[in-house]
Amino acid sequence: MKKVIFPTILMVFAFIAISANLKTAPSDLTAGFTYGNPEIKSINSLSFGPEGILFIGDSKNAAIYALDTQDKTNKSSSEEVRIEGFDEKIAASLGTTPDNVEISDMAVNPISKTVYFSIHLTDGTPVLLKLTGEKLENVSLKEVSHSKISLENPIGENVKDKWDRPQRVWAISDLKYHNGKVLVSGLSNKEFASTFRSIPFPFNESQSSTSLEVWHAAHGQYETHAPIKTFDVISIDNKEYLMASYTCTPLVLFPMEDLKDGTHNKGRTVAELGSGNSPLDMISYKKDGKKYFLMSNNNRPVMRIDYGDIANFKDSITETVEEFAVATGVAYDNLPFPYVLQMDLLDENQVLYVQRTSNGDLLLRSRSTKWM
Amino acid sequence: MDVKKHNRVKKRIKVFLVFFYAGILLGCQEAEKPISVAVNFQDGKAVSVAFFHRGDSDSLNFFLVGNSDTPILGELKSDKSSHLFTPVVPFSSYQEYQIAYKGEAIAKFKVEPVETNIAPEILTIYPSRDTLPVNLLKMYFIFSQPMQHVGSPSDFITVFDETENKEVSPFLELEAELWNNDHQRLTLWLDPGRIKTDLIPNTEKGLPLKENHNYELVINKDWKSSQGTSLLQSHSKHFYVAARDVQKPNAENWMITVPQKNTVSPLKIDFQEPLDAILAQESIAIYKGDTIVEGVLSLTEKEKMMEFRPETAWANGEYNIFINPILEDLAGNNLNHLFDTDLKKENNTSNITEQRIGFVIK
Repeated sequence: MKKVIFPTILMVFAFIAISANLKTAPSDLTAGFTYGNPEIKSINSLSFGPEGILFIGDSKNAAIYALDTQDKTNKSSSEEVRIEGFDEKIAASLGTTPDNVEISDMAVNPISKTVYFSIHLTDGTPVLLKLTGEKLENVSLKEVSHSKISLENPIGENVKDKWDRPQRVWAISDLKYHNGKVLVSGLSNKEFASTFRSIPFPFNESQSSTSLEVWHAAHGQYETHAPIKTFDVISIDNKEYLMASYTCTPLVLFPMEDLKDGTHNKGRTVAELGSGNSPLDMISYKKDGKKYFLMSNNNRPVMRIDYGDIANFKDSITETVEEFAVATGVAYDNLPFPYVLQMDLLDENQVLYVQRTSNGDLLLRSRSTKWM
Repeated sequence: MDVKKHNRVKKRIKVFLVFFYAGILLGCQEAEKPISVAVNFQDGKAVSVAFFHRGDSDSLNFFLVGNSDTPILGELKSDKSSHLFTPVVPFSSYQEYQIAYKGEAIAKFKVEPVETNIAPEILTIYPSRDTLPVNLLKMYFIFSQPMQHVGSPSDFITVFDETENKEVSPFLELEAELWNNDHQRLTLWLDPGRIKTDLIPNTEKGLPLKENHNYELVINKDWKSSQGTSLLQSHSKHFYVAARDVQKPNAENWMITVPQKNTVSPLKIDFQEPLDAILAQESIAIYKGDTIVEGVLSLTEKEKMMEFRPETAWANGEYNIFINPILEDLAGNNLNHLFDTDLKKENNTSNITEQRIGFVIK
């Protein structure tokens, strides 16, 4: 009996030891992370990668940070969300009033379905909050396991455009994790400033960048200085494309395989979605077996575009759209959701958005993709 | 009533009584000894509060007065009855807060700003004169402190057409605010699409300002510094809109007053018209040979004149005033072309790359 019991006890101890080790040992992705204060100065963009790793784009520092949120408990779907007076709630949780806070981005952790918000205060200080149920919690930006990569050749801190606007804020305009790489749009210090970067993760020394050129139908010219405002990666006929949207509002495709380090790429403009507008967020989802994507805007309602329409549009728009605010190219539907300021997928069947409603309220709510 | 049910009711009553009693005790304690809250400051910011209170620290929460739904996020460190609460974001000046124990308010406190936290002011609005051309292109607002990074200038600036007795929106709404890096200078553009003749916004809406009209521009005192302190007072600027400025600045017409040698008296330049205040300070430099003369440029006579005071006394010799042709007047006309011109037609344009005006000190 002893002979049986002893090996069993040994096995149990070994199992406990292995389990404990599994819990604490970092994964391959976070092996190079360090614990401490990453000194993040601003949060312009948030996006989740695998294993609850949150990527933060900081234009002031011209750097990308990867934070290990340790938020890895799997949840297949989320409860419905509906919080009115959401800016008041965020402000109250920070001991202040809504006029002193601004939501700079929102991202849903695809594993836990927890929603993360980056907030800027009156002095520009960034704060990261997460929402679980209706409860807000602070996510420390001072004591956190993280890694960082500084962007090569970012646009200078004092560069201004012809309107005297500081351009550094566009060092990072959007970012997304895709197939082991962090993809970053923004401005560089090069002659053709509009840049798309591809940074392998875990971060090492390498990063590649390519300059971009698009036909801007509303302006009637090719442009290389304006940054992509929001983008997604889509697959058409088994080929991956960067689908990028710009202010005023061209929608442009670039084959991903062409975006090689040091190259200059001209995109194919597939839609001019109307001037006097800037795109904010882009997400894609499936409904009834069909794929769509949604784009939120600062001066237009949320637009829905059928992936099939993009795939079937083989032309390239190279004409000028003379009339103010007129759209051309790939068709879209206007959804009845104006002033959607932040948008992300909450789970497979729900979209989450922050909307300024007609009565002035800031509403955070989820909506079934069935009704999107 | 069966026995089991009766016992359950008794238990509930006991629990209720215990809490009620505790409540009375706490109530008596507070009545005798109000809780005093010490606000701790660091670099002018209210970073934490300290207070004494007997009771379970897990039941303490912090709220804005009037909001008991959303607790303030932060870290509470407790040692027996001594508590220190550090919020994620420092407490705001003039804001009232309350401390709650088990949902009941036990103390209130308000953060009074420290002396160094003085209210910001508008130092200057350029153009500073009160008669402006109808094709005015820009206005600059100079603040005494870095201003808030959130919100939009349109929340705080209103323009009133006193002639037509209505509020108007002459400024171009842009995606990003036009602050300089330290957030002390704001640039607002009058809508250029409405100024340039025959562009669609011009034909549809007309000029952003109307000739022969009087206007009042009001800056609301709710505008805050980056430290959260409101403007000392609201600010108002009245101006009258005169005829269109259709002349390019011409440096050949400038009147130069040359200072005496061995003095630090200013070199005076009379532009003969008011110029863009910020560009004027960035586009003009004084050279002796190839060496820049160090000194201070300042605008006078409501940006119609400039004075240059050298750091060291003027020496004998030949000097040059170098002018970058990007220099503009109030209507955005620069040394090379009028703002309202079709550059493709190249009419009334020149190609000055750098202009210089020489003077001699004897």
